[in-house]
Formats: sequence, C-alpha cells, structure tokens
Amino acid sequence: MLEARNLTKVYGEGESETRALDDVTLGIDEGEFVAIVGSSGSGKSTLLHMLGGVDRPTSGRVLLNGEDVYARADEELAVFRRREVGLIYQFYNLVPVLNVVENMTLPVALDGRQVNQQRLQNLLDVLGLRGREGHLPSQLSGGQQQRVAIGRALMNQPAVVLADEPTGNLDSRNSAEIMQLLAKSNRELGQTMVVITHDEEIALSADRIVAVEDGRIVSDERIRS
Amino acid sequence: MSAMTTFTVKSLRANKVRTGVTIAGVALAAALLTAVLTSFTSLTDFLYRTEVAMSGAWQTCAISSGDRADEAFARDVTNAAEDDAVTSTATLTTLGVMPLEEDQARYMGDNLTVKSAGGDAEQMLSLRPSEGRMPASPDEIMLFGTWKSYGNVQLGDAFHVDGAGFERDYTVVGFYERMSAEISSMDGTTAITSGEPVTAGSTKAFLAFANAPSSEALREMTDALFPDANVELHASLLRYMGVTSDASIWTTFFALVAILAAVIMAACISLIYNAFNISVAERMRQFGLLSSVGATRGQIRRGVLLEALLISVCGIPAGVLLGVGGCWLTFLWLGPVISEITSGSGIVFQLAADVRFVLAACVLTLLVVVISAWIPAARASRSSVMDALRTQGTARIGKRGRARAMEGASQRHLWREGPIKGRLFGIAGRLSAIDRARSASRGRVASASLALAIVLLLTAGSLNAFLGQLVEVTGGGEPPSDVAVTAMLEEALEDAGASKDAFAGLYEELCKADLAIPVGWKMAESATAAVPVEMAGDALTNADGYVGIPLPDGTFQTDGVITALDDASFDAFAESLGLDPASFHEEGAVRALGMSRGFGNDGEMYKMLDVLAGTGTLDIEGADVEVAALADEKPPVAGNIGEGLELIVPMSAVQSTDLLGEEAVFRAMFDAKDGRHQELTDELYELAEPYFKASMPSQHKFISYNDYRAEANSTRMLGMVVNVFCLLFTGILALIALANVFNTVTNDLILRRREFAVMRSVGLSDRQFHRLVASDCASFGVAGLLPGLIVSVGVSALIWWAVSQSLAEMPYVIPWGYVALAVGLTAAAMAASVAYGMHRCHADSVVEALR
Repeated sequence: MLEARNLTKVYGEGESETRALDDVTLGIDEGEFVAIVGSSGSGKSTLLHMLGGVDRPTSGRVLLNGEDVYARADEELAVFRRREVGLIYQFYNLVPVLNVVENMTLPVALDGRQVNQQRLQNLLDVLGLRGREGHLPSQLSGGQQQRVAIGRALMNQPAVVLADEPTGNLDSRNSAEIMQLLAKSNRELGQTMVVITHDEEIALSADRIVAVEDGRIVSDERIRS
Repeated sequence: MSAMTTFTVKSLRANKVRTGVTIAGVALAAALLTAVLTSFTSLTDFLYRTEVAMSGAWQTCAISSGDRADEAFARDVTNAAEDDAVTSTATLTTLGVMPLEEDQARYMGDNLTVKSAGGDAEQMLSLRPSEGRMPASPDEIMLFGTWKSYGNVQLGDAFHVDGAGFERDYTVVGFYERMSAEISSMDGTTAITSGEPVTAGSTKAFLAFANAPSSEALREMTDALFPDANVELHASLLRYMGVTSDASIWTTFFALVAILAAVIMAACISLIYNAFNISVAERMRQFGLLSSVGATRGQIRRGVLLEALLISVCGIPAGVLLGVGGCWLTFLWLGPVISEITSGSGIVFQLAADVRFVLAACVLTLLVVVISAWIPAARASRSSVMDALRTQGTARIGKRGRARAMEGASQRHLWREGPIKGRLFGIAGRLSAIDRARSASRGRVASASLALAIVLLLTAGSLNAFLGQLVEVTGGGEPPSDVAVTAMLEEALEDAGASKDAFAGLYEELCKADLAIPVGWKMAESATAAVPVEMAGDALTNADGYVGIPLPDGTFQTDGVITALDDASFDAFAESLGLDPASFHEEGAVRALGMSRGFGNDGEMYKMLDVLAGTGTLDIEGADVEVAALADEKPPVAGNIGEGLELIVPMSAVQSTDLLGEEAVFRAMFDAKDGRHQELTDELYELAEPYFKASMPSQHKFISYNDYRAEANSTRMLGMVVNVFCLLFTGILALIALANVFNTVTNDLILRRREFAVMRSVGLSDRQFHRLVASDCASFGVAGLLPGLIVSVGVSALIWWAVSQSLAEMPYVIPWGYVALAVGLTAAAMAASVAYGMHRCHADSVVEALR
C-alpha cells in the first residue's frame, strides 16, 4: 500500500554533507503494524517524515497505492497530509490556542469538511478525553495531550498513521495506555501503523520490525504474520 | 569571555535582522535626542552671537551718578580694566546734545547727542563703522549713516557741534549703520568721538567677565568694582549664555525640549522594549536550559542587560554621528534662511554642538535602552525551568482565553466562521480569530505598535499643519500687492478736497514708474460713529462696551475707519457684490459699503467680531453716511480686514465733504513687472520724494515704501523652515514607528513558527497559511488603525487648541494628507514585515521546526 523506493535524503553540501537516508526501499501493507528501530541519528525520523509527505526526498519516490506522493504540487501534498496521513510526535505538537476537539478535528477543518460528530464522540470516549473537550493543551497532562494527538491522527481515518516515538515523553503507565490505543486501532480498525520506538516491548508488539542504521535498512524482520 | 557573554553575543548573531533593527532603533533614538539637544545649543549659540553682533558683548554696565562722572568713578574704571576677573571694558561718556534744524530733524531726530567711546567699544558695544573708521582722537567724529544719506555729509567734512555748554569742531572720519540701545539717544542719533576723559560727562562703563556663574554673581562683582554706581545687566545676552535668573523664556525653551525628548524617549522605549520582549520570548527555552544547568537569576538578567549594552555600544555612536551630521546638513541648508528672516544681522545660523549635551543625549539613550530591557530581563530571569523545557510554544493563555476555549468545544461553536472573515479567509480566518481571541497578549503588541505609529505620524502632521497656519496667518497671508507707498501730510489743508486732489496727483506720478502695475489707491481715516441699534452687530450690542458704547439715544458709539477708494477700484468692488456702482456716485449723498466684520477684543479675547448686522444711515462725526450694503471681504486695494467698524466709499463721493481730511493716510498699491519688487520700491522712492518737494501742498509727515512681496517671501521662508523641521521630525519618528511595527509583526510570526509547522504537518496548505497571515494582519490593522486614528484626532485637536490660543478662529482641519501618509506607511511596513516573516516561516523545514 505504502512504498518507499530508493529514498535518499541529503542535508548540506560539500564537507558538511550528511546522508540522513541512503537509498532506502521499504514496503508497508495495508493494516500492517511496523516498528522502526535504530540508534539516535540513524535516519528513522527522516524516513518517517518522507513517508508522511512532510519532507521531500533528495531522490527516490514514495508511492501510496501506486501513486507517487511527491509528484504532487505543494497544495496537493498538504491535502495528502490531511486526508491520508496521521502524524503523532514524541512532543505531542498540539496547537496551544486550540482546545481538545479543535486540535483533534483540525485536519477536517482544514479540508473544509463538516466534522463527523459521531466519530468525534467515539474517539473522545475511546481516548478517555470525555469531559476535557474544551481544555487547552496547557491544561492537560502529557498522556492526555498524546491522546489528543492520536485523536487528531485518527479523526480523518487516514491511510497510514505515522508515530515518531509516541511514548518517548511519557511515564510507563501512560506509555502502556498509548500503545494499547494504537494497537487497538490497528487490530480492530485495520489502521496501518508505522511507529518509531526505542522501546523493545513496543517493537515486539508490532507485526514487523525494521532496523535502520546510518540511513540504511539493516534488517527487516517479520514477527507476526 | 564568560559563558553568558558568549551566549549573549551568539544570540545577537543568530538573529541578525532583529539585532539590526534594534540597533537601528537605538541609533534613531540617539540621533533624535542628539538632534533636539544640538538644535537647542545651536539656537542658543545663534541667539548669543546675534545679540553680540547687535548689542555688543558687554555683560554688566556701571552707570555714574549725576551729570558728570567723578574721579572715584574714573578710578573704578581704571581698576576694572586691570582686574583679572574682567576680560574687557568699554566706556561711553555723554559729552553734549545739539538741537537740530527742522530739515535735519526730519531724518535725524530732534537732537544730536555726542558721546566719547573708550576701551574696546567695537566688541563690547557692537560699534563698527560701515564706512571710514572709528575716531581715534577728540577732534574726530563718526556719524550715523542718515547724515550721509539725508544730510549730505561726507567723509573728511568738517562738522561743527554746538549744544548747551558744549561746542566742538570735528572731522568726520566714519559713518555707522547699526545703533544699539546702549549707543542710541532718546530723540535723535548719536555721534561718536574718542579720547575724552570719563569725567567729561555722565559715563557708562561696560564690563565682560571671564566667569559668569550667575546674574547675581555678576551684579555683585560689578558692585564690588563700582561701589557707588548703578549697575545694569545685559539681560538678553546673559539669557542666551544661560546665566540669567530671568526664567520665562528658558522655561518655554526647556519645556519644549523636555517635551520633545519625552516623546522621543517614549517612542523609542516602545520600539526597543518590543524588540527585547520578543527576543526574550523567543529564547525562553534557552533561559530555562540555562537555569537547569545552574545559571542564577542574576546571571540571566545580566545577560539580557549585557545584550542591551552591546546594542547600545553599536547604536549610540552611530546615532550621535547621524544626529550631529543631520543637524549640520540641515543648518547648512536652512541656516542662511533662518538668519535672514530672524535677525538680518548677517550672523549665520550654524551647527554648534556642545559636548555636554551630546553626552547627555548618549546617557538618555542608554537610559532608554536600559528601561526597555529591564522588564524583559526580569522575565527571562524568572523563567521556570519546567515551563521553558516543555515544548508548548510561546502562547500565554489567560483565564479569558481558557474560558473562550471552553465555549468553542460545543458542537454549535466548533469551527464556526464569522460572517466577514469566513467569506474572506475561510478556515484560516477562523484559526487567526481563535489565536487572537485566546492569546493573552499576542496581537495586542502589534496593534499597539501600529496605533503608536499612527499617533506619532499624525501628531507630527498636525504640528506641521497648525504651526504652518499660524505662520501664514501671522505673516498676513498673501499680500494685497507687491509694493505700497503710504504717506500722510504734515499740515492740515483748509479744504479737505485739496488733500484728495493732491494725493490723486501723487498717484498719477507714481504710476509713471516703469516697473509699476497700478492696483489702486485709497485714503483712510479714523472716525467715531454712532450706529443705530438696527444696524449694530453682536460686537456692539453684546460686548459689554468693549467695542460699542451704548448712548442715551439708543445708538452705539464705536471707533472705526472710513476708507475712500479711487473710483475705478470702488466700482469694481461694488460690481463684484452685484451692486450698481452708479448708485454710490449720486450728488449730495454719501453712500458706503460697510464691512460686516472686524477684529476686536470682546472682553475675553481678540478675534473677528460681527460689527454690522444691517444697512441704514449712521452718523460719522456729524455727517450722515448711508450704509447701502454689507460686505464680508475687502478688495486688495482696501487692505486686510482691520479693527472695528469700516466703511468704504468712492473717492468722488467724499471729494466735497470734510471726511478724510487732515488725518487721512494715503496708500497707493502696485504690483511689480517681472517680480522686480525691490527695484520698483526704489523707483517709487525716486518719484515720490521730488514730487512731494515740488508739487504737494504740504510736505509729508511720514512716507513709507513697503515691499510686501519681500515680507511675504520672508514669511514663506519661515513657513518653509517650520515645515522642514516638522518633516524631519516626522520622518525620524516615522522610521522609529515603522521599525517598531516591522519588529513586532515579523517576530510575532517568527514566534509562531512551531505552531505553523504543526499546522502544516497536518495539512495546512501554503494558500491557507498565507490567508491565515493575511487575516492576522487585517486584524492587527483594524485593531491598531482605529484606536490610533481616534487618539491622533484627539492629539491633533489638542495641538489645534494650543495653537489657537495665539490665533483666534483658526479653523480645525484634520490633516488628511498625513492621515493617508500614516495609513500608507504603516500598511507598507506591515506588508514588508509580513513578507519577511512569511519568508522566514517558509524557509523553515517543518521537521526542523517541530524538533
């Protein structure tokens, strides 16, 4: 469903040139839960952002259902990000002046569509945010903020959810709850999920573990069929 | 270099544009303050040098008592000259007074006073020969210039003086043109000789001291040298030296300088405070990190203040150079103009920078910077480690913001678009509106900067507009003609008609001037009138007797002027009012046009008053004059609207009456061909003088030749000077205001980089981003423009009120040109800020911004 072909990302020039990604090819099937692991600076986040249409590669292609993502103009790329991708970050990255429901429904609003209230209410319940609808991010705990970020990622029922160390900033209890939510979304709703993680337990809960080192995939192991 | 210093320097380098704008703001502050203070010192210096040129450099004067100075006074003069504290002395001894012949008295006054000058009279009394030299001995004399022009005295001539108890023969060795108050005599000119003893007459000894701490000290020092003499101070000179205790004019000067300095400092504090505020807000995470590794509050605060100091080190010297340089250029251009219109002394207005005042400007600027940086520095030092390390962006949301957020969660309010913004900006407008509604201060600072910019620009514009009006009105506006000749007969003629005939002949003669374009002529005379109540205007009936005195018969007595125009001029005037001129030329009746308004004091202030309210017949010193119609304006030949009642009649109508007789003043007006008004003035003089001698029934009591065009040019130049200074002030204030807008708007965008990156990562397109920024700017603009305009109109009205205290009935006018300029400039500044801010935001990689 989602495919990266010969992806390369180079920063800087000459002596300061850095190859964050070096000719990476990766395919992700619909409904798969893929964990990407690797040391700091290995290129994991870069790969994730390329897959999500956030950062253009220096060379190579990203295909979603056979269509080249980066063949689109910037405007269409923005639409792609709204509709097809759900991004979750380690540091939540919520808009500080928007409340919980506004943050969750932001991609829908940007798309100019009506908010599906049933879906919204459903997500609020599932994510345990009932009663916090009008709260601002500054009024929420870290775990609650990350739930809002998850809700934002899932609101539009995207083709793929990309999570960059979603539990990196949380305590163990919250981490476990967040991963349960993501896993539930994958198992029950068939949501395709790509998660970057340093946590071995989380990695082992995925269907497949892809290891990245020095901008290259060094191993790609299926754990669960 | 310490860690904090390194950190500070790197912070400044990291945002070169903001650092540059802040340094520019500091430089502008320094430049303006330096310019204001240097203008003050230059003005003081100019006034001082002008006073020395006009009246001499003496500081105190000891006056001998009695008709002659005694030996004690003479000894005091010698001792004073040798005193170490005294730098220079001069004496002026009155030797005698000679009554002048009638033909001499016309031009030289009734008497000629002879005075002997000793010591350094040239410097101390500004006594300089314009031709020849100063007398060097008791048998040489220097005369005032009119003796040569009108008395036919030449250099080398023998000159005999025969006064009461005083007779001398002199040789004329020089003439002088400028007679200061110290040299002049009461009823005539003064002749200067030299070498007579101080005891030859009453003597004034003029002193200048090396140190002049105060006027009291000068008086005491002079008293000590001349214990038996009266002492006078050269008050005006001491005033310009800053020594006098006469505070009134300096109160005004200092107040004006202080007000200007305060306005400048307020504007600059706003700019620089914003810059530091933004700089600190942007680096709160860094300050939190510094705290987390052990930096104390004091170290962080000192770091920000060090930043302020470094910026000052760069900005203040540049600003001082700009301020002094700007003054030098301005005075190079305007200096001669100012000199010409203010003193005619030949002293040039030039740059006179005083190191103490320049240092004061530096200190004031440093104070501005420290004040501006203090609060942001304190905020930086109080940054919470945990808050700073949490990546929640820079929005500070207060109670109201949180309450609004709560409201926005309901289904009804969720993403509800406003009617205007929704149509114009879509979801981007909604995001912008939410941000403005919920952020504690964001946007308000930008709006305040805009409002301040509008207020500053319009304040300067109003100052220019109203001061310009004041200059124009007090200068008399457009003159009625280029040149006028005004004269009055010395002797009353038996027949009032004869004076009219005589002046008619004079006018014909003057019309022969080659460069003359005749405008017309008139005769005018003061008269007392009894005005019936049905004709009387409010000024007569309501002014408690200030203008009109009620008489027992019900009429109002008032003073006024009756003016007779040459028939051609009067007929043209009547026709312009839609009247038949022939009706004013009927035999046996004097019919006049009455001016409905005239200037006067109504008991409260001097202003334009309603004098006549209706037509009818009034009595002028026993003669009936019918006021057939009223007019609001006068033709140029009749001059400007004057005081009180004025009636205008044709010359032929009063030819055979007693009106306009011995006290009537003649005025003939001419325009000059090719603008050669100075030459025309000379031509008219050459025609009038011999005509008076040869053909007029009486010599003139006075005759004057007014070059109105030269006076108008002088007023225009003054207006230009006022304009230039106002424009310079406006320009620099505009730069400060617009730099403030640029800084604030740009950095408001830059501070929200992370927020924008988040939105872009979830699908905010470039078009939507542009609309979001446009919506923000529209909100800033409206929120800043409207209050700014309202406050500006208020300030403008205040300035109008202040200026109108000197000029009644000055109309209040909103300076629309400056309104347009203010709106245009701030819009341009916002556009530039937005363009730069968006460029910075676009240039960011989303990924980098979200780290």
